[in-house]
Amino acid sequence: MTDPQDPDKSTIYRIRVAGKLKESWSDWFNGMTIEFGLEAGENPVSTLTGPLVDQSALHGVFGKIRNLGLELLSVEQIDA
Amino acid sequence: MKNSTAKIILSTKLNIPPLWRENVSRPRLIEILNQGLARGLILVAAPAGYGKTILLSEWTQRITLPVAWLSLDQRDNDLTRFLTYVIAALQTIAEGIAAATLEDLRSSPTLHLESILTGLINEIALISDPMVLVLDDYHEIEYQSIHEAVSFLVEHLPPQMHIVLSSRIDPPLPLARWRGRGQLAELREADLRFTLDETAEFFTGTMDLKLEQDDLEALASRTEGWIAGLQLAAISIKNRPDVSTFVAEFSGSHEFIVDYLTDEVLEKTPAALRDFLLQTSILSRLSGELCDQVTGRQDGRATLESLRGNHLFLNPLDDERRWFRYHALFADLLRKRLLEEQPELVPALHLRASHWFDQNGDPEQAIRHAIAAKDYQQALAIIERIAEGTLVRGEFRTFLNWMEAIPPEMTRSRPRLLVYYASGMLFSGGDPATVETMLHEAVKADESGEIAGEAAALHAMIATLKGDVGKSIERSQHAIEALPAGNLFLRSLVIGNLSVAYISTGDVESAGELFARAARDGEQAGNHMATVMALRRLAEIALLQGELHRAWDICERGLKLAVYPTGKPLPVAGILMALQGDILREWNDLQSANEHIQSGIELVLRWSELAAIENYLYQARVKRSLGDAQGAQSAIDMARQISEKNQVSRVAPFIISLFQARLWLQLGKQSDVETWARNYQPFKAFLDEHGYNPKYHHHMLEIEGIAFARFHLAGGRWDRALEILEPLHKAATELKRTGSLIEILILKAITFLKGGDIEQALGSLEEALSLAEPQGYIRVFIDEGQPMREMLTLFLGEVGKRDSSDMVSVSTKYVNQLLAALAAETVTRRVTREDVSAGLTEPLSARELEVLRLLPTSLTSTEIAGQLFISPNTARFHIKNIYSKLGAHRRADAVERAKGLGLL
Repeated sequence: MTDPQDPDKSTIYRIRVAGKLKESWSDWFNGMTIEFGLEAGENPVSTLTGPLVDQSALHGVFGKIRNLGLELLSVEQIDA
Repeated sequence: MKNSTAKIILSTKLNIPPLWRENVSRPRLIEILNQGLARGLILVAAPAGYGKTILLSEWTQRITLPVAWLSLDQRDNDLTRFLTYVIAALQTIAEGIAAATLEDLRSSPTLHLESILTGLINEIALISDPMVLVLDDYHEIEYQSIHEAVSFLVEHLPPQMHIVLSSRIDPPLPLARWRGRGQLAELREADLRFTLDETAEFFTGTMDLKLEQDDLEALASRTEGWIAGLQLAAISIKNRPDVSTFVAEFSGSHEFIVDYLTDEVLEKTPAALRDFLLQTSILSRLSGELCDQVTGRQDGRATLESLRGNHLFLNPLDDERRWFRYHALFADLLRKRLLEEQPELVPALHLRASHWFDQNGDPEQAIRHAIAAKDYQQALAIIERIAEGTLVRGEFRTFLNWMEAIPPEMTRSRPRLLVYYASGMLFSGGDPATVETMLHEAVKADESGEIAGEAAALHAMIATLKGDVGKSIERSQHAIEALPAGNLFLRSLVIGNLSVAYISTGDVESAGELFARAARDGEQAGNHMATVMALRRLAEIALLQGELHRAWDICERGLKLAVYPTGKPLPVAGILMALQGDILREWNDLQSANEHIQSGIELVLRWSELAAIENYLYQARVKRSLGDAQGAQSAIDMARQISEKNQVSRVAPFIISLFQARLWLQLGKQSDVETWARNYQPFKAFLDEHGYNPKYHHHMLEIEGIAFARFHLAGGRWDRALEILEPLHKAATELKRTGSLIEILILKAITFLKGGDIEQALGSLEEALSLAEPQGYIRVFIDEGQPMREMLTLFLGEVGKRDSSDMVSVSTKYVNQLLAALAAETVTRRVTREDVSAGLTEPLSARELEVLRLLPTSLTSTEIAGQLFISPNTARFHIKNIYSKLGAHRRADAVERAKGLGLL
């Protein structure tokens, strides 16, 4: 079985959503770090970054974003 | 559903969620929905908190059409269960509708989806009044087969039925195609946002708050009409003295709306209530009593009442207001908070919930919570208790989902459960090797030996799939001795399995005794499926023994049993009907035979696609006798398709290949047959490769031998033919397989005839005739055509010369009857080939006429299938038959010819 916590097997993803999401949501989103900033000087955007073990885990995160009614702006894989 | 809690669960799923009294009415959207009724499907797609459910609930109150409602949840990701619920929902508006389909679902080991759905659609089509089926929260469905089923339903929707889906995401259905065809109406996020007017009505009417216009506008703008956000804002405002300050702060904040507002709401909530909310957030359904169990307090019912009064996202699920659920979004927020603040409490809460559900007759919720609590032993104990019932209902996916959620090392000490796990995997198409490994583990762990019978039963079934008859028999016998009398599910399956095995060995007598017993047991237990399966095998044995009348009577007995209370035949009855068709064919009543077999195929497809393989082969045989080569070829192709798609039986491909060869031989396709014979892998090689004992495969080797004897006959190699036929003759005599013996004797006679040994030829023929006459065999003789005519004529002349002292074992009447049938055959053949325009020798069936009427249109065969609610393959099959009967090769020819004959 794949260990979902094994960082070696994971890919790092960066997911941007509209609005300011508090740090406290980190656990809810598989431990991804949450940073906030204003883009173009005015648009509030939260960026979730962290390792996800596979596509199922990624879709799990999408499901949570969807269930919370958050607006998804972008998703990208980044090199570890 | 026996116990009352189960009924309540069902009713909360089928209930239309009640409205708030002070609900914001949305005539604008109601109008769109009303217009949507002109299309087949209405999709309401928007994220959580846009009021989808409430809108649909209001709409159903305003329309006069009857509404069937189904609220879906995570647990419905099981095709059998999903369809069961859909039918239960339909039954709330049309009593007893689709009862037969429901029965099929319960009794079907392998669902043939299209046939089940076609049955359902046909039953819906019988209702003349328009109606609506609402599938709420469709985003909960993730299982691909269910999407396929819904897609099929929408594609074949009777005009009076309307389907409404609500979902947080666009479901994976062919939406673009339906949109393009104008079959889809949509309500989306932009439509569902509260307008400014609706926002105002919500604050003043529903929430009883007086707000300044500026504040209203600010709130509407900040939330962009998102209803859940507005509701949280309203609750916050209720707790605040200074509305405008709140609105200003809220509007100025960048924070995620629910974050901001949940903090606001929870901060102002008294600690006791706050704890209650957090702790009960783990429940997908709440009642006062259940909440008390989980919180350890006694204020459950009163608290739920007061929450309801505060509009705190609590929705009643029944009219008595005993069961509620939190709005999904709010529940997520609460659970997140709970995990943050009291993570150590979470498993304990789940465990308490699990105990409550277990004691109150909802084992599935109990399992779900035990798994969430990571108390796997508790989960396994409950799963073990209900596993058999779940599997018998065909809910394999549900069961497998539980098992997959539990670490495998936890299940090792539970042999019984491992056996269920193995059977769940086997019946849902899992890899036999994995299943076998699991069974070995189970037996190893089973110190008391109590699961030996079950494990043997499954091993036996796997052995049959692998073509290992010897092992199958050994394990089946073991299983029958060791299985508890009460385990009807596995018992009936083992009997079916053993039947196949015994017939293969040629030991038809022991097989017959066994099935007679099995049929009696099944009848006594009221297990019709087991009885019919046993009777079918018993009839097959009678056929092999050359007892056509007895085989017919056995089928009759089964057909009387295998009916619904309404008198309509059960799908499993299709295997008996087709066999009767084969007997009718032998008696040369080809039209009735053809109809029997066609009905048998249609019925049996609703039960098991695999069981249809044999029926298609009977069909090939009757089409061949009818001189309908294309029809025979289509039937063989259908059998091959099913066999290739399922790839479970290792033996089926051999039989299909032999049927193909026989057809080519009859059509004189010499080069095809020779290519076939060169490439054919003998069954013996297959046995050797796997180390199987050939003595267990008598039947298969016999079929193969007869096919090759025919091949050599056609090639003029008389010696080779005889070399094969002699041992077959001997074995069939010893094993009292008179049915096979007749055909073998006939082939020997023809071989002698061709080899110039008339005396020997007539000797074999007489033996065949004397065995065949009492049972009225016809086709087995006249299918041989010219050489048979020659021999029968010679035989008549020879008999005329005999002394009265010589016993003649055959009546001249019978021989004359066969000659007459042969003569009629020749006339029919000539007409079929040469003179189609004079009229049809073989009339089109009712179904073929239906298909024919659509041929002048531009519909494709798939679209024709859609119009007639049949599968595309069936449509293509009918079209081929139409061409063949009309002597046409292209669609345009067929249409022209049909017009010429006045059929169009």
